[in-house]
Amino acid sequence: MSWLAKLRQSRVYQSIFRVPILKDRRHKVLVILSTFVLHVHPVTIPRYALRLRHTWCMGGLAFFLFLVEVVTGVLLMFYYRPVPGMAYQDMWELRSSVTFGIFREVHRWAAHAMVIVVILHMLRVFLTGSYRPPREFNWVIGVALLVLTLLLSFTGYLLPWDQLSLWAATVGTNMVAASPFVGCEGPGSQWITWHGSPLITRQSDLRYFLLGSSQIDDVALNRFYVWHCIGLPILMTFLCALHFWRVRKDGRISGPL
Amino acid sequence: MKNSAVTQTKQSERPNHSSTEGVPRRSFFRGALRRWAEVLVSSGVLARSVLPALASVTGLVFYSWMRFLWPNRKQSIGAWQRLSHRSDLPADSVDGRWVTSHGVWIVRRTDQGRDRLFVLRAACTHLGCTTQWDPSLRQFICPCHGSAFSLDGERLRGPATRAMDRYAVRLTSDGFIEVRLESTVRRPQSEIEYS
Repeated sequence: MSWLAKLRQSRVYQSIFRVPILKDRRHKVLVILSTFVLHVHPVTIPRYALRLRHTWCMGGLAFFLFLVEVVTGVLLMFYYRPVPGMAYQDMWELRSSVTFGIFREVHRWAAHAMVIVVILHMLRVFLTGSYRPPREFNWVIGVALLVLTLLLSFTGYLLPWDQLSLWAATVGTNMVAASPFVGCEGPGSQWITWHGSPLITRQSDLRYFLLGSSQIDDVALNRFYVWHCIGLPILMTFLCALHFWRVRKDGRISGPL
Repeated sequence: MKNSAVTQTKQSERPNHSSTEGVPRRSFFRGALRRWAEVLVSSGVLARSVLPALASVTGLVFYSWMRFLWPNRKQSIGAWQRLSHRSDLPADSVDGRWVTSHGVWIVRRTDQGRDRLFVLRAACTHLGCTTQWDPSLRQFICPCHGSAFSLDGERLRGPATRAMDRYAVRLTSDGFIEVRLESTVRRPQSEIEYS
């Protein structure tokens, strides 16, 4: 074991792990708190929290699927071009010509699984009453994460640029146009006026903002692509970090309070 | 706090490790764990099975990523590509070495006092199957529907309705045959004198 001791005394090791590994409880805690990789783990965990039945690992599975989506999604970005005339062809080449193009299917199936797992996670939290104080704000963050998951699914669905995705996006954005106040066809939007002329029109409502256009075309495809690959994942990462931090702060994982 | 944290046990409640009456549970498990690790190492199971399994899973993951990113395009379309050397082709011969990789037949035709070189696109003009060279008939035969083409690529038999396509070809000064697979060309521009 001399090489291990030598490794622990090396400058590289000590620059990464600042605290020596000692046996007593205080130093064990320090090792975890002062190491970035380890600090994601709690210092201690209640024994009952290890029971599978308490959580069915649904939160962890949802996060794992998110990581799968990030890894496979970055891989897909190397081939996919969000331009009409190329998008469908690139998607098809991923399925037919690219070696290990199965990453495209992995991305798709993990996305479906993520929606299911997030809903099951929510169901578990609801049925065990884990949304109650002091965890009520984490429930709110969780709802936001559910909405983000659904939005990621929706924006990703347009990217293959086939008939299914085109009409799904058409229906989805028409629903936005029918929303109260913010959609041009929704109730209440006619009351929002400036000097007598309507402010919420087909060229200025939320649907127009989402598509960057009054219909689904190349501009809309690019917008959905950027939301799907950059905007929503950044929001998701931030809220996930907040969510996990609140789990720790609100009385640790999966226990009654 | 009946079922609370294991690690929250107070120092005073911990079993006395130095006591000789029976082995405490914790040190028993620690010792068993160490013994298991020693057996794993000394029996060679770790080196023979566990580490190779871990290494191959990790390797497979990284290999699949890199192989995915590695492009499958076989040629850069539009560039002149160096294939055979002129000394590789005997008189009146068909060079079939580039069919799989580039989809072309290189033909040297020697007849009526002329020595010509041209490159035929191997795909049948009917539905795109790769044609096969039949040396006894001296014809290109399509295995899918039986179309036949002469050594010049002229159509002899259907269902194909036109001659085989040709690519632009040139000879470099040091005798290499270069082909451009960008688009097919008409017959006069696609032939070069060999001599």
